[in-house]
Amino acid sequence: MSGSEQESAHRTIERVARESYGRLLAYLSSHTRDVGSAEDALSVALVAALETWPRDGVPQNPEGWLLTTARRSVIDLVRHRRVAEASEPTLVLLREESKDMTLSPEFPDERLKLLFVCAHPAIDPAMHTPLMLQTVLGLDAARIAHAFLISPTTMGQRLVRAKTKIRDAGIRFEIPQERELPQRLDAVLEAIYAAFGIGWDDMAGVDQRGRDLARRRSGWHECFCC
Amino acid sequence: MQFALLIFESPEAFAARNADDNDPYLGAWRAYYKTLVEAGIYVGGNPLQPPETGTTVQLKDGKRRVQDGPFADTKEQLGGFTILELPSLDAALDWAARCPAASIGAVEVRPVSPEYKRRVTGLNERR
Repeated sequence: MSGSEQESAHRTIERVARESYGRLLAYLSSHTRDVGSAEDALSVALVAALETWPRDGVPQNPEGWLLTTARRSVIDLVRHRRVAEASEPTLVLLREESKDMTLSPEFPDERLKLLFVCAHPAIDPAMHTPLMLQTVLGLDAARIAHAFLISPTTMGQRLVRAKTKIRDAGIRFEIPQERELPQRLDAVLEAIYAAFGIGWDDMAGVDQRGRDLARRRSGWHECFCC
Repeated sequence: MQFALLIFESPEAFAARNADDNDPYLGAWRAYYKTLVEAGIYVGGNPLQPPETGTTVQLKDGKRRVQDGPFADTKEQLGGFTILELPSLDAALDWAARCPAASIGAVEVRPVSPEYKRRVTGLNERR
């Protein structure tokens, strides 16, 4: 493959990673209720893309390719952990759905459910915004820590703890019932508002990270238009 | 008469759950469980997930207050426990908010840990 084709493969990976990260992660984790495993699986899929796409060419449906690869990896990860009994329904579900996604371009957008999970009242309110930034927009812990003025290690630990709680406490990926919706929606909107604020505050400086946060704000917009 | 043993564990004891099957603390629990069953006095019980997975519900002036984390006791003391079969944390929080203790004290919701129970008892119970 020529150098320019390789470059174009890299550009495609970068674009797909930026534009589809949240959708892919939301879809993967809505089945397993395990955001951490879904993140790991998506990383594995992105690394695999970096290895194979420049060599074999970009697949016709890049998102579907990543989803299929990540799903296989989720099954491996879940199986690896000794939660055999608890994760049995997950494995069955994943196996049932293991049809090849590389051909069908459509998969449901579960990002709104993921936002409600991130802003669930059982999650420390201080972590609502960082969780959204990481899971829906795909920012890394170091970048989020910078925006919240705490050390990357501390932010990393808090994010892991929050994701463990999501997995182990039995928080469902669903839109809340009507009577709870106003209150639950307020929490989501508050966290999104904070994320916006961080993006704009940093815009004033010369910091590339802040600009990146602001640039990704269009991701929120998409979530609510689905 | 039935008695409940309320078990309090240190962070180290919770961490021991991730150790392999040869862990002495896990071994001690297995031996203890076996003795209880053999003595014919065992009625039931369940290990809980670690405190970080807890969520505390209080009803203040009819409004629900949900907080991340276990209940940090002040003058309230553990008064009992109920085990419910429910599909999600939200369903559990609903039932916790309806518990009479939620309006004068607090109710902590914590998932039970069938995985850890299986490791102690060696039994594969269906949920």
